[in-house]
Amino acid sequence: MKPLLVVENLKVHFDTYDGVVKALDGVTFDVYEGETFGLVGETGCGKTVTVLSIMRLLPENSRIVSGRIMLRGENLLEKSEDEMAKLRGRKISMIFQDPLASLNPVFTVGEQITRVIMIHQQLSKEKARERAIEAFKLVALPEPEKILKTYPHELSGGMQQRVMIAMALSTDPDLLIADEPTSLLDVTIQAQILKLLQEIKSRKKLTILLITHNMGIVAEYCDRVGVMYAGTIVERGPVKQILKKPYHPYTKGLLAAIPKPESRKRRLHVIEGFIPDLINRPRGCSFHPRCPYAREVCREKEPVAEEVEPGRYVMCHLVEEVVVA
Amino acid sequence: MSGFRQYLVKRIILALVIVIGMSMITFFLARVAPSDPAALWVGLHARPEQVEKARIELGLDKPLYVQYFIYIRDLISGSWGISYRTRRPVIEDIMNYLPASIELAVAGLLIASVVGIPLGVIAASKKDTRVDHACRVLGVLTLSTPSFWMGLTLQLIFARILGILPLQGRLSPDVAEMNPIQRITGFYLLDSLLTGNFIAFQDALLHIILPSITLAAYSTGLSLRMTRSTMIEVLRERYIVAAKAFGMPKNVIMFYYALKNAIIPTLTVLGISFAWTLTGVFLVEVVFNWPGLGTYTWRAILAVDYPVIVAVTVISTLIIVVTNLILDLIQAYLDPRVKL
Amino acid sequence: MRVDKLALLSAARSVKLKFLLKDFGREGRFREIRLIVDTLMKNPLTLASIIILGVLIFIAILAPWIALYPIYESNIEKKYKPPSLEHPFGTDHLGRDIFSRVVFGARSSLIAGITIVAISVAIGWPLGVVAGYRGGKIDTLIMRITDMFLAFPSLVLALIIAFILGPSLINSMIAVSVTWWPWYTRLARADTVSLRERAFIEASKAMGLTDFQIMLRHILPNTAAPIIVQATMDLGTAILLASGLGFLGLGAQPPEPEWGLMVSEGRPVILSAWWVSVFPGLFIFTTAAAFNLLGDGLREALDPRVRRVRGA
Repeated sequence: MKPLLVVENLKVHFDTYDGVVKALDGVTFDVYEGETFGLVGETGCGKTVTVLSIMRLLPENSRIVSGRIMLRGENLLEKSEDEMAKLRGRKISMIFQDPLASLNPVFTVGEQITRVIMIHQQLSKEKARERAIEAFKLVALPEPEKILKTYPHELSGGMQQRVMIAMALSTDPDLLIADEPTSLLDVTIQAQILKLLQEIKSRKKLTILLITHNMGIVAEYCDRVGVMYAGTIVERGPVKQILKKPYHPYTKGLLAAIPKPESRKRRLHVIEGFIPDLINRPRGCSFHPRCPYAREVCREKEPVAEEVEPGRYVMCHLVEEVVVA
Repeated sequence: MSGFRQYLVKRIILALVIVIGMSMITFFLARVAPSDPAALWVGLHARPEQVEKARIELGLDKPLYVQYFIYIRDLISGSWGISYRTRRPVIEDIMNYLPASIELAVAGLLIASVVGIPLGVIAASKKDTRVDHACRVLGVLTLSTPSFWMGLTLQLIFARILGILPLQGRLSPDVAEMNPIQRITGFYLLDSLLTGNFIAFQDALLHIILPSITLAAYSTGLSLRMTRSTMIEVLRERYIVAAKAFGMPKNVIMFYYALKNAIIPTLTVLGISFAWTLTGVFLVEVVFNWPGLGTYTWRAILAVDYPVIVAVTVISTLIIVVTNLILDLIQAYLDPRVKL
Repeated sequence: MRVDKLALLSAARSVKLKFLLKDFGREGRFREIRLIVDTLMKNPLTLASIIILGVLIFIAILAPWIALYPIYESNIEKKYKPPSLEHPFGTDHLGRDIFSRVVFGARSSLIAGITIVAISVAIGWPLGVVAGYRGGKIDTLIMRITDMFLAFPSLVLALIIAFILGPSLINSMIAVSVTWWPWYTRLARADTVSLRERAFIEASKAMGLTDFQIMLRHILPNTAAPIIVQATMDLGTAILLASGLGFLGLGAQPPEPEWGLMVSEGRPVILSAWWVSVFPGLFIFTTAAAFNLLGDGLREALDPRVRRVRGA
């Protein structure tokens, strides 16, 4: 399997009044064609910054300090704004967390999707309209012709998200980035939307980069996953393996924190401490202040990603012993 | 859209209530004023019996609320009293002077919008660059200049020192004599064009330049500032980022997408501009000796001319209320989120 | 012994000062205020406006000592003298020194502006908060009255009140305030409506605070920012209006040294004695501009979204 997207050592800083926020401190991962790659981590760990960097939609006070983002061998960070505009919505599409906020309230849904189609595919208005209806059918929206004439606020949350997905997929992109697409939806609708994405992926040749904070979603819908903490990927590999045998203490903590009704323990597992100050990052491993296994070397040196098993990478000093052993 | 019709009816009723309320307040306040209208009517050297006679004639001996009803009845039937100062029916005076003010106000509003709104859009799209700062400074300058002082200064520079523009008034006296404008609407620019009177048209145009620029100044700054902040708000919205993520090129976003979002608040900007234009008309008319409602009202106040004051109040309230009503209705019609 | 005591006291005071400075430092308890002040200082225009206003207030307070000549005494032989070392701004039609009168005029204008805005804010802000928070019939009633007053262009009502009460500076100030409070009501109400849905309001209710306490302690402070910005900019416009009324003869009356009145006094001789109108007008302009710039700067500084970004 060839990698479609390769992110190498991405470092992104933000200039703020309080100092330089080192949001991403060397993010490395790759996404293979046809798979669903999950990027999981708590709020503030840098998941959204990562995908905004891929799309080159970062706000003005940001600086990409180093790294490469390779899409089919081309470095996206070297492209001009015009070149990126041609790629966005055409080769890479993105859907956002809040579908109502992401749709323009004064245009009908139909006007918005046909405009996107017309921009990328030079079709006439009628042809674009047909394609729009096709796209709506793809996402299982009932009565597509009617929906074309509705305004975003007239639709339910689930339908709004389907519209966004339709817009994103109407141009047959290679990569779909989904930034927490279901976090604001009801649990039942969540499952519907995620299953829909899976179906579409199997029908068309689509690769999905799925951002979430929910390990359950990762377990259910992702092939491979990258666990993010404080701007780095601390563990990455196939989902089934990681779930069975997590290496990194943070991953272990995340999995242990999932409440299990059948467990006899009365207290929920907690990862002690808070996420670090990104302006004054701790020395050494960024997780060490909260790590129950922290040792002297963790306080001093930053760990590097080690391949502990084929395709499994972990950033932790403790596993070096495993590898060596 | 029966919802729309309901809204329309509600707003019209509200507008009527406002106008009636204002007329009541003005009327009663005016009657409470210290100076005696009867004495004013007959003049300074009248004898007491003449003052009494005037009082009865003017209906001032009747109880206050009766006077009010008589007044309203007269108002609706079109007889708005006689001006104490000019001795002419108020309605005649108003009809004479109103077109001049409207012409000036429209010119001012036009300039303010054509200059202010596009500059506001440009400033927002190039936020924090030199262009933006320059626009904001321009906005502040126009917002801070006292209109009467600006008028005087412009007169000084262009009329006296440079001599390229007329000092005051609507028309040069010789043009008024040799090429008088036939009165169709009362708007000199329009009427002279309609009757092919190009000499008068040019003269009227030259005369209106300085006053309308002076009048437009404050509203320009206001429009610029308000449009700029509206556009900035719109450009910050999530759906603009999403549009970029879908590959929409910047110029499409600015002039098609974001513009429609900004139109509705822009109408509000126009409404406020209009209100301030009406305010400024007074000062500008006085400085430029423009024969409009502003100068007329000013003289009426200095002469304690009741009927005129009350009539002008009602008219200006009416104009503003109607304008706001129209703007509100357009807004409600355009915004799909307003549940009608 | 005594010297030691003095040394101790000054040492104690310097320690206290250091703590105070620390409080205002970037990490101190008052860092919010420090952030606002820093952002204000960064903008050169805002800084300039603060300096100008400072100078103006200084002039207004110390007018009797800064003025060069008595402002009410006429000196007909000296009439219409052009600007010179003796009379920096020249003299007017009664031979009075314009510089001194302009300096005293700063008092009238500043007082007029502050009074107008203070009254409008004092009436409009609480009214808007009450209307927005209570909703229902109270809201409708307040907003109907507000709409009624909004329908009047302020100058017209000001003229009417000048007409009824007679022209004077105080009356013109009352007149303008009466027309201005509706803007603050609208502003405050809009802000309040979006605030009252927030979770911390519900939490306060759950803790047993009465409506009045909630409005006073939570809503009022949180709606302060846009009100302050608007009030600052309105100070400029208020001074424009007050001087406009003065110009029309419906505000301050002669022989008061009000800037607008002075401009109108110089109108008949604008060609020959331009200084009589130009200098007072210049001061009106500068004052209004300073307030507007300050308001603009405040709006940037108080906007929670903007100030997080360090200037590039």
